[in-house]
Amino acid sequence: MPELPELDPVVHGQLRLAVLSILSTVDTADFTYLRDRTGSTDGNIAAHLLKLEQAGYITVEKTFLNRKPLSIYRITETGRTALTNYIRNLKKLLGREFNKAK
Amino acid sequence: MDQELLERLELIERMVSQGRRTTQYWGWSFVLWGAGQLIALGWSLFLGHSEIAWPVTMITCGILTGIGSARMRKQEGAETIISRALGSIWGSCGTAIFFLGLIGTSTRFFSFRAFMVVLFALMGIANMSSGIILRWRTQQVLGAIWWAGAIMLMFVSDKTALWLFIAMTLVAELLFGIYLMIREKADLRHARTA
Repeated sequence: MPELPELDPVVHGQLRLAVLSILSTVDTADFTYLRDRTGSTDGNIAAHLLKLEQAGYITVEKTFLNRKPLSIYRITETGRTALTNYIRNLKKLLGREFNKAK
Repeated sequence: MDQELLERLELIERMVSQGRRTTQYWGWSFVLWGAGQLIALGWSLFLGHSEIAWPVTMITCGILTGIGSARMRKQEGAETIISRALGSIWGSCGTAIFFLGLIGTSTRFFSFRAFMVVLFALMGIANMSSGIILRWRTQQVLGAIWWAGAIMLMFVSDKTALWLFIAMTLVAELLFGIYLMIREKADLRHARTA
């Protein structure tokens, strides 16, 4: 019996998945942009961004704009691959669920 | 389990769509430059002093464009390859038009009419390139119209050339800019309720 594909637990987190999905469509995005687009709070998204950074899925560049700190995020190739694999496995699982329902 | 998975898939689609949605809207810049050129022309024709009318209005438009685009970049928070490509096309063409106009006409290296040919050709390049990048037929057609205007300018009288310049500025800049602003406002309304 074929094994069920596993979903990467780092990517599977709802907010982390949202962040990776957004970052996959842009070159870079700053902290405020990610927070606003995901409808999250500062503290919540900061924790999840750190987890993604620790997993090597995103990088962060800390700089200043008009003397205010600015964090710029970018998805890595590892992160992009992880997201692609996640989507593929998700579709496989959904296909399996659909077949079961039939 | 399947409901949770479906929700994940929908989340991905929603966030990808969010990432692609831009808050950078440029209709106002077409209106600004169109109005600026008409003001400069009116000032030169009716008040004289064309040697200051054009530099003053064009520099003012340049400064306002710079302020507007800096504000938009700050608000946007994300950079895409497309936005960088479009910015570089318009920035390069705009810079070339500005310097050729300022230096070329003030030194009388070429006549105002010859400069108009250059202006039309560069506007054609910028619009056509943008239209191809955005896959937007309307802007590609606009680019072709600018080029057709550049060719026509080489064959018509000075008076006709002036009217052609006014017509192109009114239609391809001012009216096109207003049309873009209306479209962009509708896009924004849709984005807010989505």
